[in-house]
Amino acid sequence: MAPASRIGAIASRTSLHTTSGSSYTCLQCRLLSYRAAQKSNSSTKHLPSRRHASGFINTEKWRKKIWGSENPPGQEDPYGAPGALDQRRREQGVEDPEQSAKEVETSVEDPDDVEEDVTPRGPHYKRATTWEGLERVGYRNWGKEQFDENYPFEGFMDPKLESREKIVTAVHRALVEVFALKQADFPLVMDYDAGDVFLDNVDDFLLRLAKEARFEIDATGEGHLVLEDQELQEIIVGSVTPREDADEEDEDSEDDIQYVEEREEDRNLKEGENSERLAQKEVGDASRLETSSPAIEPQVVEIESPAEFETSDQPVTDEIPNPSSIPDRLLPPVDNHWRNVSLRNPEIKFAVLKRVMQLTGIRIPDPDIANITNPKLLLAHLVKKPKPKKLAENLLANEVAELPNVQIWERRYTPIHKEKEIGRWKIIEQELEKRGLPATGDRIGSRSEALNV
Amino acid sequence: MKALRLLRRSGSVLSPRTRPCCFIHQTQYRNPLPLNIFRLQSTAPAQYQSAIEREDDLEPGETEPTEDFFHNAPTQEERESILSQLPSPHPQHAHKSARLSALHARLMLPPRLPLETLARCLVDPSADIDPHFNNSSLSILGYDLLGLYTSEAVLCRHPRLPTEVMFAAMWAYCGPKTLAAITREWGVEVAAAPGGEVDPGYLQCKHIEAGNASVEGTGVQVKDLPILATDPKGKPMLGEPGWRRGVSSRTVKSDHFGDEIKRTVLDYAERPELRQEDLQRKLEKGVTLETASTNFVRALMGAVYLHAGKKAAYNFFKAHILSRHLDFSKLFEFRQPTRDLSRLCAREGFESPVARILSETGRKSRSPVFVVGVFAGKDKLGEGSGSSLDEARIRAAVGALKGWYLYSPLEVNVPSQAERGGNWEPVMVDGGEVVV
Amino acid sequence: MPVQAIRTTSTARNGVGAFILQCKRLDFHYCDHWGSSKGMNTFLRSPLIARFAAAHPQIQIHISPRPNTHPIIRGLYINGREKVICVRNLEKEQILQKAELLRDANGEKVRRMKGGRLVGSLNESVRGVWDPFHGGNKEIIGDRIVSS
Repeated sequence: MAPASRIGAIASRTSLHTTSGSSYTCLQCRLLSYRAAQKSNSSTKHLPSRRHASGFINTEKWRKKIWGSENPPGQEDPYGAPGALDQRRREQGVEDPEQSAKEVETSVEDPDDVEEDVTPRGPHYKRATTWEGLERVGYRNWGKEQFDENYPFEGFMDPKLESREKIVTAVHRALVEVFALKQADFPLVMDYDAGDVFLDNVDDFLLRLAKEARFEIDATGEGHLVLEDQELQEIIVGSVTPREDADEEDEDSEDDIQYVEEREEDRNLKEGENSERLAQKEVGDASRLETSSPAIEPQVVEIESPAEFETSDQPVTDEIPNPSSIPDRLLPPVDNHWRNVSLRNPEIKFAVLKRVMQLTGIRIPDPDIANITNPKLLLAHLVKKPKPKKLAENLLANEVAELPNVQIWERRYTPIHKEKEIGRWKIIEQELEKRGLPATGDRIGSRSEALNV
Repeated sequence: MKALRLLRRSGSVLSPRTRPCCFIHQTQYRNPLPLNIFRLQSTAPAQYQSAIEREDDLEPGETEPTEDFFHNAPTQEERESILSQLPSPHPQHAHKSARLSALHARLMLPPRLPLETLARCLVDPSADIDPHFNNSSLSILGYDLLGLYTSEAVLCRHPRLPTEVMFAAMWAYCGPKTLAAITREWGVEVAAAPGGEVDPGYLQCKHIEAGNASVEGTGVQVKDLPILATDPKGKPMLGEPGWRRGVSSRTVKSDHFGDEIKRTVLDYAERPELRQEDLQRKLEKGVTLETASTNFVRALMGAVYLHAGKKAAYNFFKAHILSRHLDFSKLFEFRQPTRDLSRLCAREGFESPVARILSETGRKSRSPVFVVGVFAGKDKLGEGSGSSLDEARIRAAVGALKGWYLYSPLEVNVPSQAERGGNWEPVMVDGGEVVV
Repeated sequence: MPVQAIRTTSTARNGVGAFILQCKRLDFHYCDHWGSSKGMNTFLRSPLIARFAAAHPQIQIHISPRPNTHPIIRGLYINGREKVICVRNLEKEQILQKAELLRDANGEKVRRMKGGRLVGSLNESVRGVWDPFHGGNKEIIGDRIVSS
């Protein structure tokens, strides 16, 4: 059999011997040997390449039989020759990426034949044997991290306040502002100054609020804001922007306004306080249309700058020079009745809540809003209880710690602590260092180390 | 006996010192310390700020430490890390150690003994070479005090005790092995390695290499290492180490237990560098646990004396040392008791001793019992029983001798506790054992 | 040959001179999280532990958290042994009882006493152990046994 002898010749040349001594080799082995032979032996290249390079099966014969004609459709050599896609590519003159990669591969494998320009190497290139120090690409969450770097998340709420004093001040301020607006017959839900740019000195403002703004509760239980100085009211009124300026403004700002409105509407939809907002808007519209006092307009015009049209939902920047702990003089007085002011009026409640949310960044869940009837309850939702102290902290503050024969540890007493007390730890460290082992943790190249990259 | 005015001369122990650590001792530190590290020794709890006091005996050449370094002082952590590089814990750590306070209370030490001194007693010279911060000076004082109290207690109780037995009794009460046992009974643990970060309540010393430890790099044990041959001179002559001295000379020239003193005070006076040599050797080779414990107990004795006075020191001795049980009769070892007894009787003017059978049974049987008494004339000096006549006679002689040597008066007055201006009756002390 | 001596060490008699309490250290371990440690936490916060520690200045008290385990009291003794008691779900008074129990122990293994002996001594008997050769000797005179 001619094919068999040829197979045998090739097989013997490439030292492929069948164990049983028979001349049968399977298809895979035949393929391997052919390929190996082709690679190593240049002489085999001159062997008459079969029409069916994929093997030595006479597929043509079967195709003719199947199709029942001399010229079966399809490619001449569907298995051996390059595929349809490759052929098309070749026609178009586009490079085959796989092929080029293979070329690169093969070229790199043979260091003697390496070309200088193929891979980026510097004069200090040293081929790595381990992955230490190499850039990691494609690990878990790598894609997410890449995205996050380029598109960092910017929330629309301010970062949450943690300090109890700040929260109390914010609630008081919101109350004062809303009630001031109410007394000035303004719509209650307004755009407040973003970043408090209007207020020259926030501290001063807060100080004045603490001193001068008082609430009195009359016989019916309604709260009234009593301001010692009317200037405060004007400041508050001046610092707000009405939500719509549809009538008298410039044309350039119309687009801005529309854009602003759109954005706001979007956010309103998200927040889900649609109906209230729209209602407020209508009210605002109505009231504003009615009271177009000249006193307001210039102020409105003043504020009509791009910066001010930013909604107050933007995060508060670090311009506010508030210290981390508010000094006592800025805190609203405790004996004031402001904590008992009724918030049953939905308009006032929602205005106050909105302003509080803007100032503190803390959202109150909808089910809880219904139960909030005065600022005291509101504060309960805002001010979190302090985390329960660990027992060790209690003990250290106790009289037990004062005794000379008592030792209190905050953390677990480990064998390393014991060794340190005894003085053996330094010797252990030295010995481990001598052997190149870490003093704590697993061996070098541990899984935890790898994940921390 | 004139009371030693030691309290006044204990300057090196008690008064606050603000001396920089010696440059010589810098080599002891693992990393070279900044020069402005000051260690203090004081009776009062050491504070950084209060420690800068001018010492009266500061030499004029020495510069006073400035206050600047306290203001430029490193952070708490840095300070702690610097302090931990000292060879022994800083005295200010003494108050932070619960172990130390517990030890102080367990031994019911007088409140005038401060924790810093107790911490100092726990530091062996092999851990810290600086004599201001180790227990070497205190232990010398304590050794002498213990020797004094023990010897007078033994002698006053058993005035006729032979010298060898007296040495053995001294060794039993305040010898190194006993003091090591005492250290264990007090619950004092040993630190694995000395250092500034070690809890001050631990006994700190550099451990000598164990005999069955293997020499680094080889499989040979330390005890199996061939001893470097010293030239064999044969029997040592008078004056050379190892020359066997008689008992009489040992009462003068040996230490409290009759053992030879390797390097005497005279040797150190002649060649002062020997002291440094000794210290260096201890530092390099280390000491046994027994030695370290001995130094600790002696140092504590000295510290109690210095801080709390004579009475407190004697009470400490009585409570911890003298209260221990020792059967004196088990310390004797006779070679020829009959001969000793006959010489003794001759010396004391008794009639020469005669052994007589008091009773016997089973003479021809497999297990006879003979009860023999030794008589000087009509007085029975001693009695003994045995399974042979000889054995019984020897036991009788031993009994007689023990009866003589272990005489104990009913009332024991110790010279060191004699009151000033009180009636002092001299204690009876015998001439010693019979010379054969 | 003159008298030689045998070197021995003296034996301690705890209490004859000074008394050394055998319990040298008590470790109190608690957990912030587990419910079984509630009693222990209360005990540590209460003045009971302060009073106990003040009453026994010779015992080193060590208080440290041992997270996610039951609370224990561990006593270390001078003979080097230790005794551990798990005090899970106990009230603070009971925990104090356990602490006192550990304080009163001496570290030895709990053994049955041999022969019911309650008192041991290093001293020999005062009047001597009986032997047939001294006193009460009987004589046979004729057909009678008479004590001599």
